Amino acid sequence: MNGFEELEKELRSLRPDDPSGEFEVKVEQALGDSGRLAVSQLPDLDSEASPDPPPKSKNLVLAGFSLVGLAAVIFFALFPSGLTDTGAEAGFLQALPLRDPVPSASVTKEDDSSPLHGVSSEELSLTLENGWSEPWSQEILLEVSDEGVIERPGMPPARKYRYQYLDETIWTNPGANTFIRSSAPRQEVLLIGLEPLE
Amino acid sequence: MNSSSHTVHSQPIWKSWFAKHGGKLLLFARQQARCPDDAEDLVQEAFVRIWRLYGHTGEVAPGLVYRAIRRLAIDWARSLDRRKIREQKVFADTPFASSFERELERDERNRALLQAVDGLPPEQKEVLTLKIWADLTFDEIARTLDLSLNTVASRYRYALAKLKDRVPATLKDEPKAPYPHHDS
Repeated sequence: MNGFEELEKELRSLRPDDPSGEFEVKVEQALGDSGRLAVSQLPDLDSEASPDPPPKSKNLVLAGFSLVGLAAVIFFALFPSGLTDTGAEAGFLQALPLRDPVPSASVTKEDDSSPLHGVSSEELSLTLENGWSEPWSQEILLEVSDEGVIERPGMPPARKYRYQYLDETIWTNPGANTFIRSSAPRQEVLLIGLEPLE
Repeated sequence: MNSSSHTVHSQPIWKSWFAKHGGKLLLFARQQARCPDDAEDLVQEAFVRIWRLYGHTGEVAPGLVYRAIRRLAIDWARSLDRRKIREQKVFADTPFASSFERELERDERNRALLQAVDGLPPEQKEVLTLKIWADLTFDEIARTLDLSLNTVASRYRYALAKLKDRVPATLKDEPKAPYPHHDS
């Protein structure tokens, strides 16, 4: 195999052409909302180093900012005192002219039972006293996919099914004519063991 | 609210993922589809399906998309209208090297290598493509192509052996000036 290493290295050095811009736009349109579920947001200290996003993605960027902004507004509206007992560093958010330390993602404990990121279910339940009605939840099955038969060490093979759900919860406050909707994607994997033929 | 010069660079994760893998997916899809238009459709369909399933996690294993391309190509080839199109197309319409136009411009050595790859039997070429350019493991390739691990590994070895034989040794040693120059 030794004689092939150089050849492999040489082949790897050849890079296939990138997809055309038109094709990327087609893919973006086909992806629709699912293309915006995962967004990377990185603080960039040198704004000149990061060029402006291309015009066609500006709407996506705005949508991303809107979601983050909305989450922040909801958080501070529900908990005006904030998590003031935390003194951990808050990155570039420390530049904000606030008297109390700013809660950051690194100090916010994630509560799996709460559908709102950064808000525990206990904190959420307190809001019900302020005119919020009981939340309404639904589970939407998006897709079921059969991923074929998988091998399991020491066990018979199994057929693998993946279920994609969207968990939606809606809180309403009729008095304030306000509602909060939380949508969280979730997936479950089901393994059905296959019995060997006798 | 914040007067500092900090900015936030934000973009959907699929874009960086696609920038990294899109060209390789197209390369594989061209071999499966034999027709450039079908190749783009294959990549789009497969990628969108998989990203809708797993994209929210922010990471998608490339092997899943390659496998989806493969299965879609088989499904499409079975459908009547696409079969007609496929039969009308000549295999040589989309030589392997056409996916590397940028590389072809560089030197003769690259051209010779890519032409040699193009001359491989399709079953060896697809294994080589998945191993070299898609960077999949033999296990992932076996699952993508529904083959045994041994078959995949032997096809890969055969492919490399053929390439080694077919690419002229002179080009190997002297990629820039393969043949002596005679001015007179």
